[in-house]
This record gives sequence, C-alpha cells and structure tokens, in this order.
Amino acid sequence: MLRPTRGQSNARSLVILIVLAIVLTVWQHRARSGQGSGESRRSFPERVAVGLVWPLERGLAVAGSAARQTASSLARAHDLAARCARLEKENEELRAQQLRLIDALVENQRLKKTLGFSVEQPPPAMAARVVSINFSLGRKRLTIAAPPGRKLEVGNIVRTAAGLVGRVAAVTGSGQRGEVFLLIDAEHAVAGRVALRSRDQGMVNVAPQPVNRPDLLVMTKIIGRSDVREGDMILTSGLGEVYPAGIPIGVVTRVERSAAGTVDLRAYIRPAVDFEHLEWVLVERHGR
Amino acid sequence: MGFVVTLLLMIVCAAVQSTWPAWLRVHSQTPHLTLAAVICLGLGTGGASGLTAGFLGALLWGSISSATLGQLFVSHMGLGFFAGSLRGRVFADRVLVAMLLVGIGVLVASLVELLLAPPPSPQPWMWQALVRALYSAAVAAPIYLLVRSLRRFYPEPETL
Repeated sequence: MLRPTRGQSNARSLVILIVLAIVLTVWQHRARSGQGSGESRRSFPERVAVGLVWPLERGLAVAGSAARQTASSLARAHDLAARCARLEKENEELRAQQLRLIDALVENQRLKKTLGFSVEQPPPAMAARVVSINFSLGRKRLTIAAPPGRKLEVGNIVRTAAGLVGRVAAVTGSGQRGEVFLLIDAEHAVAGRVALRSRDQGMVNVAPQPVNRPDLLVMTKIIGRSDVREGDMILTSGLGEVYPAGIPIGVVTRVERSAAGTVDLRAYIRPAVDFEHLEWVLVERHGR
Repeated sequence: MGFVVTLLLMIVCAAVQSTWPAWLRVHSQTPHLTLAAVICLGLGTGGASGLTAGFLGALLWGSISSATLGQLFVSHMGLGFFAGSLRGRVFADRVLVAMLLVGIGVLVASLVELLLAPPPSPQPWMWQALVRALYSAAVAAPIYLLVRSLRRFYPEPETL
C-alpha cells in the first residue's frame, strides 16, 4: 500500500484546518445568538482556549502588578533619600543657629551681670502626662497628672515644644491632677501678636465653625496697621499677664477684611499644637 | 513536536498580548503579537506550520478577546500560509523582511476585520491600524529570532 507523501499529508491538514475553522466559526455564531450572557455565550472550544491561556495570563498580570509596585517603591525610595538629605542639611543649619543663640544668651547674661541687672532664670518646667481628654462641642479640657514629687498649680502654663496648649484652671488631689483650659475652648481667649514682621496685636479665640471641622482659631480686635498675612506666625503677646510673651499660638491660614476697609479684620489661625494627639505636655510656672 | 511548540508559542503570545502593560501602549494600541508570531512562524518554518499557527492563534486570540472567529481565521491562516510560501525565497531569512511582512500583515488583518466584522465606530480605524502595524513590526524582530532558534523542532517544508 502506498504511503501518502508529505505534500499530500499537508494538503489533507489544510483541508482539515479549513473545515475546523468553518465549524468553530459556526459554533461561535450559534453560541452567541443563543440565550444567556458572559461565559455561557462562549462556545465550548472558546472556553477551552480561554482555559489554556488563563493561567499564564493570570501569572503575567500578577507579575506585571508586582513589577509596577516595585518600580514605584524604588522611585519613592529615591525621593525619600533626597528628602532625608535635605532634612539633614536643614538640621545641621538649625544646630549651628542654636549654638549661636546659646552664645548670644550667655553674652546677654554676662552683660546684664556687668551692668547690674538681675538675671532672671526661666521658671523650671515639668513634663506632665495627659490622662484624659474631654472634648464636647464647645468645652475642650484636658486632665494632666503631675510627675511624682511635683505639684500643679492653678495658672500654670501648659505647652508643648510646638506651642501653647492652655493653662491649668483647677487642681485636685493636692496638686497631683490638673484640669487644663485649652486654647481651643469656646470660652478661652488669649492676647496674641504677629511674630517678627508687623507685630500687630489682637485677641485670639476659637473660631465659630461647623461641626466636624478641625479646630481653627481667629484673631480679632487687631491693634496696629492691621497688617496680617497668610503664613504669619502668631505668638502670645504677654498682655494681660495670663501667659508669658513669645509662645507660638499658630499660623495664619486665611485673612478676611470687611468690604468697607481694613479696620474690621479677622485672621484665621491653624493652632501650632495638634490637640487631638496630646500625650505629654510641659507645665511651666508663670513667673509672676 | 512542532505542533506543541507552535501551541505553546501561541499561548504565550496571546497571554502577553492580553496583559500588555498600559505604560507600554502606543496611542492606546498594543502590538498584535499573535499575528506577528503566526507570520514569523510561517516565514521561518513553512506554509503548513504557518497555517497551523494561524489556526491556533486565531482560535486563542479570538476566544480571549471575544472577537469574531471567522475573520480571524481568514486573516491569520491566510497570512501564515502566505508567509510560509515565501520561505526559501531571496531575503526571506532576514529579520527586516519579517518586520515588513508583519507590518503589512497587521494592516491586511485590520482591513479584513473592517470588511468582515466592522467595529461600531470605524472612523479611527486607519490611524489605529497604522500605529498597531508599526508597533507590531517593531516587536516582530525578537519573535522572528526566537522562531529561527526553534526551527529544529519543525520538519523541512515541502510544497502543499
């Protein structure tokens, strides 16, 4: 019996493939024109083909996603390194500035001594732990605990490294616990001034605001040229002798002027202290 | 053995084409890897292999992209067979010829699609087809080199 040549075999393959292609096309058409949706609208051969490709497709999708995440992390790491270098440089500059300030302070004290002025030491500060936070709509108070062997007094100034927190309004347990009247309490007011630039002064109290907005302060009754701008730092002015001068209150975020002129001016201030995440505070005696 | 290699190559091309990363797209177009592989296989291994590759490529790509199989069978099998018939001719073994053939093949396949299964909005067809053809031609070079290295799995071709 004669065996078919490769050419005859290929011709047979060609015919078989063409017939198969026609059958598959008709099968697909019948599946698509039937009822149902999604996977049921695919013919059986199509489902088999999808099943063959799917594992690799899935693997490639996962690998692609992982590669994209890795590239993104690497790009971010480069950015973080640059930021870290910038902060280190800034830190070095601040350290140098601090050394210059210490030199100036020592020189100042020496000159005061030479001229016969009494050299006042800043009142000693103590670190107090925040034991409870009592925030209601308008009333915002903290309870702090004095460190062992120390006592809190009414009128003590409460602050953090960032700025003013408030003052001790009441003490209990022989000075072991104190209730702090916060800067953002609706009844609180503090005399403030613009740092460095204009030194305009005014009263700072909590801004009336809708619920669920971050606490904002507002500076009103501004005395001076009313030259307050966004980005100005507001410090305690020391007027009223409730707080010492120079403690940061916050930064001006928005200024509203009346339509008539510049007399009626409201400066909205973002507090320097994050009141919702206080854990430790510094308590100072106001040197009266 | 040749059939298994063809099937594996087509599966890989279809999977890579369907998961082609967005950042590698050119004007939102992906290269037509399946068709490029079909033409390269035809050119590198002969008409019968090109025809088989065209059949498998059309079935796999048509199934995962939910395209009409008929027009894909016509374009892929036809182009695979045609590329295979060029094997052994002058310059047919050059990568540039494979790239040129893939570019023209993608344009022909787009034309077949336009005629047999017209898209809902055929207006941007020409621009998309051109971009896709150029992109496919560019990626055809490594595919053709891969096919040339796989030639030992295929029998020496004879005319049909």
